[in-house]
Amino acid sequence: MLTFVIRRALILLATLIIASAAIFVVLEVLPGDPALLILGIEAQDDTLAALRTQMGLDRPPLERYLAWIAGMVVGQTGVSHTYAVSVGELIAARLEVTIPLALIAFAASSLIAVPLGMFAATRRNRPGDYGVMTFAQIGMAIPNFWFGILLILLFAVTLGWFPAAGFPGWQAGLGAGLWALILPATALALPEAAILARVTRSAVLETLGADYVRTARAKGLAERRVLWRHVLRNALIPMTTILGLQFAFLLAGSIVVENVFSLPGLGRLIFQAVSQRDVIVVRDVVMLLVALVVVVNFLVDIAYGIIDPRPRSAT
Amino acid sequence: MSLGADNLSAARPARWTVLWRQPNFLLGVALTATLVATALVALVWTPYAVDAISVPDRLQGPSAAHWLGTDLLGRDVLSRLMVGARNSIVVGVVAVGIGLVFGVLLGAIAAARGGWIDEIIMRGSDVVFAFPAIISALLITALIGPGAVNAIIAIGIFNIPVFARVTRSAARQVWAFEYTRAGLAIGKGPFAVTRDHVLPNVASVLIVQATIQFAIAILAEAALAYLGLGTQPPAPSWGRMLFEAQTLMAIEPRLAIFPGVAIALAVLGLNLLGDGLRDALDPRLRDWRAV
Repeated sequence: MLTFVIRRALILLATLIIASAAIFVVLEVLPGDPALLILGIEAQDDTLAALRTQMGLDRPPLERYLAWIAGMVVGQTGVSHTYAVSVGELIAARLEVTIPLALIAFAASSLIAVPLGMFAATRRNRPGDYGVMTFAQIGMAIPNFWFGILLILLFAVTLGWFPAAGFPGWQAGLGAGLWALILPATALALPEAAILARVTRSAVLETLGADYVRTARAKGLAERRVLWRHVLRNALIPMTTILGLQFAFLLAGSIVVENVFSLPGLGRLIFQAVSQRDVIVVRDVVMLLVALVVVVNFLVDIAYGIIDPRPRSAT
Repeated sequence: MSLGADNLSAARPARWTVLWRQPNFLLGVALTATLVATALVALVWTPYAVDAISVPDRLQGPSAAHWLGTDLLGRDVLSRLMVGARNSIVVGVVAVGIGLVFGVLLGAIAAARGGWIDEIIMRGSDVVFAFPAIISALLITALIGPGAVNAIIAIGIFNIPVFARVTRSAARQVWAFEYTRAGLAIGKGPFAVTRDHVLPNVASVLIVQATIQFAIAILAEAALAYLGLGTQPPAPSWGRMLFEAQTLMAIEPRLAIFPGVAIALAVLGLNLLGDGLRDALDPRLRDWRAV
């Protein structure tokens, strides 16, 4: 088990290094001089040179790459030229929106999808199963941003129950903050729930045929207890992989959904930074998102290795 | 649990007969055929010129003259949806094509060679896989600006590791069969064995995956166009039409309905088609989408 963890950790480290190098190189060949972007084209040559020195742009690329990595490791990030604050502060403020949004969506999709998938599996090829699978097909086909627009149309524009866009900030109170996140989280959760329901159904179907399930039934356990105790727990093994993948899709989805609802989260930050060519912000936020995806997949691999010892030797 | 050629071909006729009785598969075929037909018709004919602005006719409801009404500039919504279908298909075909060409190549090499080459290719695909399509698109946009081609490249890059993984794992199963060893034994190189024995046997898995990636590409393109990172106005795209509709939601909610329905039907059709093909060609893969 220890060799397995060390091996996965080394792969994680290598992946992070290659990904960071890729991001750095891509933005390095970006046409345009960040110093010129800040000062404007009428800037004097000497002020331009001074700013370039201050920003470290005159140093060789490798030195700047290492400085960037070292800075991120110790939590010392660069300064955004459009916001004039450190990227670290900027990201911390935006995570206050993105993390709760992703968590609510994740919880909602799991709470809906797992019972639905189990329900469908226990009624295989009967109307209940067809109903759930139809819901799943439709849920997978509806783009999250369109679902968001439909939710705004119904619950904000027509009924007026929810705000159509924006976020009041947590200082406006926990309730007001959560209220503003309900529609975006719902939009984000639907496609995830649809995929998860299908995966749950097939994982449960697979375990329902196992010998220990027959034994549990034969010894007279209540069907409910067999399902939750014996079936679901074993079905969770293949589901961990999907839950890890879903995290990456929640992050990617939040970039789109935050823009639908004008939420001041990480997704909106990176989107605005791209339009304003704020290279430092783009670089750090992309790195953060990629690192989150890689780390979550690493944790899923480890969890998988703990729950199910078989793949330890295989990979 | 084998993927032998004889195994598949023996079972094939029976499975295909059953397939044509599956209502889900038939619906998938019908929706996909409608999508393709609409795009083909849009190549030669649309009810109105797609950019014909007619301000006096703006924001009309559905009528005999404009079946789905008109938008803010008086452009015919049906015509724009038809050209949008063409746009979605082009993006899907090219993005899946990029993924297929590079992914199958890399996956086949990884399976044929094994060892450190396999390791490097698979770890490389892990790195690319860590960049969701939206994030690659944002990086590419920061680099060379927004546009339909950049969106296609971003989605295509995202598809490469998907196909590399699927090809590798299916090809490794084929390599475990004796006929591949026999091929090597009679003096064929790994390339010839891959071409003659491995690829024909993994083709069915790739067809299923390509159908699903096509659906995902349409969703991704719509999201990118919605964000303004894909197809640029005035060219019609379903995602961009939804963005324009959102600003008019309070006055004319109808505009926010049709493009979304078009996306959902196209994706639904391809997903149902993919599910049906998977059940027929490779039942082991049921419900496991490499999303």
